[in-house]
Amino acid sequence: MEAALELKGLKKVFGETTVLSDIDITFFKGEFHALVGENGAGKSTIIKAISGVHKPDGGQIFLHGKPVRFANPNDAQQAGISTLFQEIQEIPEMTVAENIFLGREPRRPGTLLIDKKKLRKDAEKLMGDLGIAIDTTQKMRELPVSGRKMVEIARAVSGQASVVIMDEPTANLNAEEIRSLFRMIDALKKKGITIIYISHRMNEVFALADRVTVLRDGKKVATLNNEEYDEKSLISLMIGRELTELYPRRHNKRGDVVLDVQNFSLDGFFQDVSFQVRQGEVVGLAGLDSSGATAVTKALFGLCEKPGGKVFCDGQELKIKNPATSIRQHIAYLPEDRKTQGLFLNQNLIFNYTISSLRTLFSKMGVIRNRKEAEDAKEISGVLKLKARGLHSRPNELSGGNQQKVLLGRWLLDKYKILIMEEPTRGVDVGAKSEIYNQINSLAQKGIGVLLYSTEMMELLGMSDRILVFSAGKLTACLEKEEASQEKIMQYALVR
Amino acid sequence: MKRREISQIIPVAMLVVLIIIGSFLSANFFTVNNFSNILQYAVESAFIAIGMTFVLLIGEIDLSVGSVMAFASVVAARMALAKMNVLLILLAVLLIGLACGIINGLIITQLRVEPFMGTLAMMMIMRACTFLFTGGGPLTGSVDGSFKMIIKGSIFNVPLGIWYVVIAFVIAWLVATKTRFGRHTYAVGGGEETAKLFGVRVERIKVAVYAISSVLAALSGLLVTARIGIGEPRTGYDYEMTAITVCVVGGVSMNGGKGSVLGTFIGLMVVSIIKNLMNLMNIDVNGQPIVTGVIILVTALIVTREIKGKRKKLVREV
Repeated sequence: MEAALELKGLKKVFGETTVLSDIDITFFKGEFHALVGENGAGKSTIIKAISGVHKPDGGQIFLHGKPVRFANPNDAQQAGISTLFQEIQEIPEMTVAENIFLGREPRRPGTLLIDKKKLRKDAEKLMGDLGIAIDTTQKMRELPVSGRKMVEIARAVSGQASVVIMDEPTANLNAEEIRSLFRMIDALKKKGITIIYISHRMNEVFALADRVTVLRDGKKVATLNNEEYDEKSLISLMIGRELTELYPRRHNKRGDVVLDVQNFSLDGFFQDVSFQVRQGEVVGLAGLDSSGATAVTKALFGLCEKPGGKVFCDGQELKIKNPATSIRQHIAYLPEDRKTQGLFLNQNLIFNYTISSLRTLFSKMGVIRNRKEAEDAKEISGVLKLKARGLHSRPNELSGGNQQKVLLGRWLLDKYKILIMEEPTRGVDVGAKSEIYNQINSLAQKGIGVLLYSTEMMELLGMSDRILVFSAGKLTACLEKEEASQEKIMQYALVR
Repeated sequence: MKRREISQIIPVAMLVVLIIIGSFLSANFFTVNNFSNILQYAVESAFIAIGMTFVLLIGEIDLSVGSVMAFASVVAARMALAKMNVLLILLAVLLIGLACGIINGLIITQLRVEPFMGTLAMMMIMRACTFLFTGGGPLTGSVDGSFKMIIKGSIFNVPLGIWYVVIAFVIAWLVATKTRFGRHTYAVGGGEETAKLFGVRVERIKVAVYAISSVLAALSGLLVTARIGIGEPRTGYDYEMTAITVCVVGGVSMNGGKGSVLGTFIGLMVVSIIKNLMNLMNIDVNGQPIVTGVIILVTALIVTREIKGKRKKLVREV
């Protein structure tokens, strides 16, 4: 095997903390190499060192056998290392084609003018090669998140890249798009391009990786070939201890019906959806993009126009108007994008915890009860095993997993009957994941009905008592835990 | 545990430096009399700046305050010249403020007009109404002494103007820090969508904030009339800009969700003292805004540096 990229003794120090030490990894030509590890293990730092964002404090990087030093990401790109960061980098007002060829637009011969025809043709050819069905004349802002991500991927592989780095590329993609991404990756591999891949989704790593490097606390733990590991061994390498079970068992009794949805409809999104949720039950929602699964959760919380049909909560008809009225009727909601929708990044943890319960718990005649706030916030942080410097720290100082805990804590303060969650563990490391699952279970044990939407199949299968599958705006199946499997879910998710 | 940010410390530092410089420059500066003057004449700006603080905290802007102030001022003048009861005048002024604020709020929340455009329109409309109301020139005549006492009186030998400033700031501070409404104001400014998702009635909060802003503007219009004894339609020109200056110098962010009433108080002191010093030193009135402009630039520079520094730190943590 020929080495495309080699790291030898790579070291990186920020202030007094060493975030990477003695990293030796060899990436072969045309291989799919996954980096795994908990948040803070050093995956992103390695990527940033390779792509020229950070300068290493020690060690060397060899590209095709030659030592290289990149001053900035542009340098790395010129040398053939293309990086797909987690955040989409784009200009929303420009078209897809313009975004893909930004900075290297084809010119009309002999002029400074952009050859628009060639630009579009090149873009269309690229998209065709990659099997992406997106109109390249559309503006970026008109595309859904997943579409924008696909364009970003196309851009990353469009140049003369010999190494493509992908940091959580599937975070916003649905199952169908993930599959087309993987087809693309296969094609790239055949061309001899090396893929360096970071993902928290274990099943992706298992299915695809030729080799996996496990990192922990800034050090390399092991590099393993595809046949040398399984889920359990990999996870225990990552966290440095045995994890008995990622999805903890729940010993709850299912109680009375707490949520009764009857003929729920919203024009253009879903029709005639009926289901029930019992106390202490975790009901999973599965479906591809625009299948209606997330639309149902959003509509239940009052985020859409007034839906048709009837919804009963604990026997009483639910008045669906806006989130404020839903919260007053004891419905809680965890949005899918915690940074832009969930947290007040400029405010301290107390503020973030209590914002939804000010009326019921933390104010008297409109005046805030500061002491009770601080006491309850402290207690909840304890229950959640939150890692933070104190209650006055801000959410942006916390890791993704801890941010998610703060969001969850918001709903632990008061008594709710139903908790609706979207992607509760997206971008969260394994350790924090299992703590979040434990919290979900303890909420269920208290008799709360949980609705869980997730694009991560293993999570749905591991956590749900029942799984509702949506396709094209219709509820196509309701699978009990025992009968549910990935294949069955996909089968019903594709029913037209 | 609370960490203070540079944008909170800078105004205080500025204030201290100014007081020290002032004491050296003029013997008349560091006297009870002078400070009493500074505070008294800051009443109108204080009221408007407090209102503007709430508006900026929700991440929006209210340009109509100067015109609302002028309209309330001339209406109050006409009523005072007609020897009407002071309480009746006060009621009229409050109603004008409330009405203008609610109209602003509805334009922005219901018609979904950008706050800048919506309140700009209100600014022009109310200014025109003011001139139409007076017929172009000032309303003159003699007003009752009891009406003038609104601003010229004193309690415990402390001029009423100072009382107003202190009371207004204390109430505003309590509202911003100790009430649910205040908390929700910060939430709306911190992220409107997020606030909505977590049960904050964003539109109500916004309308209430514009109402507060306009009511305070109207009240300061009443005070102006009481002070000068005539109805001057050109009252309040530029007051929206003065108020924004005061807030920004005091560390209130124009992006919403960040800043405090206390900061605004310090900003007010800084801006007023600079003006006072320039007057004591006989600096040409026409040139004075240059200094204010420089102060704004310096504050803005510090704020942007702080944001950039933070970004750097965040990137490093990753």
